[in-house]
Amino acid sequence: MASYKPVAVLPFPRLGEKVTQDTLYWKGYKTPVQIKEFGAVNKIHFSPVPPHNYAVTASSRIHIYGRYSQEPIKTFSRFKDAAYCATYRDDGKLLVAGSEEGSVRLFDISGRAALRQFDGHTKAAHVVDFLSDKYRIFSGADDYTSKLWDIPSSSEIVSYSEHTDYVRCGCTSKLNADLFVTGSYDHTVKLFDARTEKSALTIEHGHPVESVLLFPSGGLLVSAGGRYVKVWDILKGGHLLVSLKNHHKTVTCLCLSSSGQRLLSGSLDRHVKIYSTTSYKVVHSFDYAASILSLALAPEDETIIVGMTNGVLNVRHRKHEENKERIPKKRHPAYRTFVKGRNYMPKQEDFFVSKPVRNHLKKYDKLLKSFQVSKALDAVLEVPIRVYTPEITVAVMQELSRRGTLKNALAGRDEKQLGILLTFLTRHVVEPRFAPVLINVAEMIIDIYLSVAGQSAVVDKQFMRLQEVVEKEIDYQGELLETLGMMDALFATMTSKKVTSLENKSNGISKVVEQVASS
Amino acid sequence: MAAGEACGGGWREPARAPCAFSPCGRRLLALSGPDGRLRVWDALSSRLHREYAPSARLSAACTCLAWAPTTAKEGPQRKKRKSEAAEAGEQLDLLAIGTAVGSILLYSTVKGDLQSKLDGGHDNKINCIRWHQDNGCLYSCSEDKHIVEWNTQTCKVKCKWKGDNSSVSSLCISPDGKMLLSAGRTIKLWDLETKEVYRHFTGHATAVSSLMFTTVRPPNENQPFDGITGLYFLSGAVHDRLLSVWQVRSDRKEKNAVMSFTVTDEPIFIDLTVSESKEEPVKLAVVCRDGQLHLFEHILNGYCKKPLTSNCTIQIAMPGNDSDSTPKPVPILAAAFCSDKQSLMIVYGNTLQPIIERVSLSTTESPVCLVRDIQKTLVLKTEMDVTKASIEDRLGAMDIDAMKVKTQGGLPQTDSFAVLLVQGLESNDPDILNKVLQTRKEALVKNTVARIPVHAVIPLLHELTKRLQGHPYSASQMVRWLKTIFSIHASYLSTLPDLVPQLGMLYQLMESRVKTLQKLSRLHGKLYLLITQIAALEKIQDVSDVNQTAKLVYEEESSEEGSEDEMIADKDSDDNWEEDEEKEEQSEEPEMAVDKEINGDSDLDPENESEEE
Repeated sequence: MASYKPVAVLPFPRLGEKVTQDTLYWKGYKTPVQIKEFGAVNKIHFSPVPPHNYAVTASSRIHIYGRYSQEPIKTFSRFKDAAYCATYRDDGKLLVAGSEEGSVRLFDISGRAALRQFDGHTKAAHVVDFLSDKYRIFSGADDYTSKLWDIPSSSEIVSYSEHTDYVRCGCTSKLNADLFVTGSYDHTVKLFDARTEKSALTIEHGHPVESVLLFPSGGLLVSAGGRYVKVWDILKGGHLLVSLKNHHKTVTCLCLSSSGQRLLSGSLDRHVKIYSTTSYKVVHSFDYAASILSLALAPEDETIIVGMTNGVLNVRHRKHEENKERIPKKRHPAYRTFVKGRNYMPKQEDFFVSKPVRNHLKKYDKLLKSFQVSKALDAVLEVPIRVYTPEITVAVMQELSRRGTLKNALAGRDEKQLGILLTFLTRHVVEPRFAPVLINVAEMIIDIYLSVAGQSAVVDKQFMRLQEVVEKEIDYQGELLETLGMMDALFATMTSKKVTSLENKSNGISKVVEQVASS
Repeated sequence: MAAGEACGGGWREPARAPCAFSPCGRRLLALSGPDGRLRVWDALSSRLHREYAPSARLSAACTCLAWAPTTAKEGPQRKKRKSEAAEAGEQLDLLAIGTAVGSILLYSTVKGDLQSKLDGGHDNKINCIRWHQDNGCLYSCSEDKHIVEWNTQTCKVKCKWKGDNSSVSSLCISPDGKMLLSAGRTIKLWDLETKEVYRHFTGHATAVSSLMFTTVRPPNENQPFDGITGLYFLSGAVHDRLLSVWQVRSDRKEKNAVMSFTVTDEPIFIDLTVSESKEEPVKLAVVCRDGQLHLFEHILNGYCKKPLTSNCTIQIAMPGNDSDSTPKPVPILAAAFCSDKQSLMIVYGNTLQPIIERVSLSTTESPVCLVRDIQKTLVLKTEMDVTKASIEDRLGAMDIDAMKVKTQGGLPQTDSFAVLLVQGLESNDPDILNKVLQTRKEALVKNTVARIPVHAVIPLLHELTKRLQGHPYSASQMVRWLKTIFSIHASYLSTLPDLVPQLGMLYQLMESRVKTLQKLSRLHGKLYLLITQIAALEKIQDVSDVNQTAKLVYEEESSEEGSEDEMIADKDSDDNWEEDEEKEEQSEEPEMAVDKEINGDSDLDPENESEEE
């Protein structure tokens, strides 16, 4: 007895949109929480130690937020003017920040007043960071200098004034306690070694540098400025690896995902782009409401926070899978039941009885199996299937037409059912993947119901709508044909060119051959 | 320099109209419009009371306003505060107007004319003016860093001293009249006798735009009161969403603000009811730049760590048009407490013709959105004869307008569309791409395609390929773009070495789509037939419908009469019918009968026609 074959539903991939692992990963965030700050947010930094609070620098304040709190749990507000770049130390106990008047201040997380104040810059200090030995701080300022400070003695160790414009960004190496990088508006990025008096390396970025980033391995450097994000190989002495131009306005901030596999860049054009660090292609993109100034990712990519020019802090937390999985678990039998006995190795004396695998049939398949064609069509015209998986509906229609019973299935329907059918047709008849089947169905419906046309205003209206759509599609295809003609003309010039060039070549070869032969 | 301007100018920039309520019962509102004219409105009737056009209004715009105090016995000097008696109506006279060039004008509302002009004190924009409540002195501060004390009788400078290292943006006189608060970035408390700094208060990052004393008595009543110690005052700053409250302390230790109020945007107008005793709460009304009004009610009692949020928020909205029913917000310009402290005067709408409304306070419901139709209420009559501007002034105004038109006559739109398209393609921004690609104007498409750089052509083709798969309604738009590209950039495309692989997908996509054309055309033919049939059926049905009704009406009569001569039948039937009706219901009014007569007529005609058919 031949077993029933279920209807094959063909997948029709849409062109252009690819769902990759990355899009799924980066879409797995909850709806954002908006927190209003007191001014443009110039820096967000996560504490490296759990519970991973984060420091937000905006206007003249530094707010410390808990991971899931919307109110600051602590505020440092003793700045006379704007504060900049509040950054945690590796142990999460100290916080350093620059300020508009040029002083660099060191705070204890639990305290209120500054522990240390480093005065020496004559203009606003926009960037500060701890070196990885934890006892030194580097700072860069608008007076074109970058300085190193000793925390215990609160004194200046060394000052570099090689830049010829504002120093606005920088970072320190996590591996080497003496290395740090500064980026400046004079279009250069300089690598400094605290043990020497001069910069170790100068890289020409070509635009005012807004942000720099060192890979955890320390071998690669990323700089952002203008519309470009550039990746440099330091070990090769500042060799340009990639230049990325995916923003249409200035790129303001950079960030690495916790695994180091993805690079994020935020820009004044309101986008955050995520690049793969192996292919350097954009794998995902976020869109925000205002120009982005700062960006931070929590450890394990649990939270993505973006600070904008309008003073809004946008916080997205990662969705956790638990809730999602609970619902399908109820429906399916446990995994155990399927694998029961599967991994049993047959022994030699065992008598093998093959038992056909029972296959679960869908409702429409069951109906089709028992030749209830009209009911099968009804089953696939129910809302969830009709709306979310129209390909199933179409596949069943195709199966019916293959069997030659489509007419039976379509006939004998009342006004409401016919209305549903016609709405479905109107919506999907123009889709190229469904068109061949649905056109047949439409023709058949007309044949069947022509005699009763005009009896129901609702159905008449549906027919009108269908006609409108079909007319539009015909116009459109006419236009497409014209365009195809244009393309044919273009391709024709191409192929003729190729042919001629090939001919020349072949002529040349034949000549050579002739020459060889003659000689 | 730009930053300095932004900080110093702040809320008094020309777009933000200076306005002030008269101190006496809030009867008058002075408002300086963007056209440089000063208008005084009657708050009760919303009528224009006076209009004054200063002769130099175009060069020296009004920057601040202050009403002269009415009675000598009033508490703290403030331009807008309640008074206990309305008897001082006739004294409600002088209005000081600060200008952008440093002169101060004294305008008398009773005379309706300029009384005197105070000149020679400042050489830059006046930022704030305050009247001394007792001795008729006037204090002003300016961008030129100085504070000037004026004698308004002689119109001479009494005293002038340097108030800050940068511009002085705000002033306030203490309730006893012996101290003066001034503020640039930092707030200073001056002894008016010696002109020496008594206290410093720091905490605002930007220029302080408003200062106000909130209490007249110290919190601790037992201690001897020297007129200033223990008092609270309030400050708001430019670009700051926090209003800070400070306390003047006896010890010199400089403290932070004792507490703060948060609002949604930068405050542009503040009014409060002064707390007379310890238990009485301070009521505060703050109008923000975003057009919202926030109300606070708080008993001041020492240090409070968290910023307070408003008890009540008021917004005004205009009901939407017929097409979209979403209300449009109307900005609130100013608000002031009435003398009973229970109701609030709200000024909203246009600065040229504001609407003044009295609203009673209830802090229980929050937020409140009042829906007002401005268009209807804007038919306020201006019955005053207004002072005419000289021809010279008008010419000056016209010049400025002409300049503006020149500078604002922007670039052609197609140019920016091309830039936008390239930006959208580079960052792959769906919003921008939708905006550009969904345009329907043929010329715009052509110009945009002509202007895009050649390196954007292939990305645009790929983007169009994606969009061609959609519904014909939107996709036909894309074909238009595609055609334009092929016609304009044909030569560039034909030079591309990898044209076929680049466009192969597009070609296949289109080809697969047009495969169904033949079948579709047939289907269309069938549908067309079906629809024409339906239409024909409907036509017949229409006629038959009328037939049926006519028959129904006719049934009341004897059915034979209709088939005879038309005119006679009509008349006969009508007459009979009327008679019948009269017989049946004699008290009925005749209109009903007439109505039915008409119905009967109109119904009869088609019936007869169909019979003729």
